[in-house]
Amino acid sequence: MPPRVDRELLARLVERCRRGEAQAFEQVFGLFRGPLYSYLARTTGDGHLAEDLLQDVFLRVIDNLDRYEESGRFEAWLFRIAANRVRDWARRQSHGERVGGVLADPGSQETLAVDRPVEQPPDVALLADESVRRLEACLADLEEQDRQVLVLRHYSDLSFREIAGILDCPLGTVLARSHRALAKLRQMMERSG
Amino acid sequence: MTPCNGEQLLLYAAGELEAARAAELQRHLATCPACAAELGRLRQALGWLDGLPPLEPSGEALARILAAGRQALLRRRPAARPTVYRLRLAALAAAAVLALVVGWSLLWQRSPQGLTAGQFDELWNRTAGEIADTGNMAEDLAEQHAADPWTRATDSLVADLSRTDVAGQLLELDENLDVLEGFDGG
Repeated sequence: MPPRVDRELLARLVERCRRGEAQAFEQVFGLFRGPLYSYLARTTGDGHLAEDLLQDVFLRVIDNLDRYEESGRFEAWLFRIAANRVRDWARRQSHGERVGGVLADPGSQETLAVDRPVEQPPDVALLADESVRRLEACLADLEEQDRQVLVLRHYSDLSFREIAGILDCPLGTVLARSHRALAKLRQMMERSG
Repeated sequence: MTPCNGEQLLLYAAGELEAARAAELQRHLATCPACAAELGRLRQALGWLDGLPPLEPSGEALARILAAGRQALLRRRPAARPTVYRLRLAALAAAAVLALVVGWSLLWQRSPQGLTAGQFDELWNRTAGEIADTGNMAEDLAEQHAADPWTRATDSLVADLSRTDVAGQLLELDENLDVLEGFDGG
């Protein structure tokens, strides 16, 4: 879970970013780069792709700062932008691009599960904890839509209701996906244990 | 609320079920072992996710993203001008003021020799006029800078520079002062 961000501090930083202050942007980037990158990397299963998406997200944030309404949570707006990038990526994947070495079926309604753990950039330290590795492998085996909800909730500090708003789907759908994903996760963890 | 509802249990396990429904669910859990067991399994799975560590992008990516962000921010600045423009503006304004101060100072210090009275007056007036023009330009720049720090002052300076030859004026001023220095009031 990301650290709690002071609301007033964040509002001041956002305002300074609107004025073009690089230092404010660096602080905002520092606050959210970890949770955003983690969400992007674990959802797409590709660390290098996640870096590109991360850049895309922050550039869109800068270009659209004037559209951000401070009545809403900045995190929700930020992760909505990120989720839209993931959705675009998933659509490209479903149109016949290769995923993990397996050609996607364009006619399939289901997105393919990523069949490998997150590919890390070379200079990112690998985790040694076996239980975490098992968890990561099991997460990677979930369907992308199911995995995304769990990962988004874990890294964004957003409620299920806010996640439903970000993903533009009913709360019931988000809960159903999460419930199903958690059940599958538990089964896989018990089998691999 | 429908009892034995997995979605309600999930909201409850996540701490997101509103108080009234949470109280109702708690009463149900006390009488439904299946839901109580399911709640336990959900909490266990959510607990596993709590142990999922954060990931970090590479150092190269961080540097690249920050650089791209700074470039994007520059485009946001209103009527932004690069820092070099501001430095040039300040330098030229300072040069104009310096020319004004130095010119007047030298004029007051030197004794004009070797010119007729009429030549001296003409030279004096022309020199004084050039100094005044330079001073006016500096004052105009200062006023426009106060009104609009970036656009008008820079545009005005560029326009003035295109009409005037500051370097040439300073050279001529220096030559005039040399002549004035050799002026013989006789």
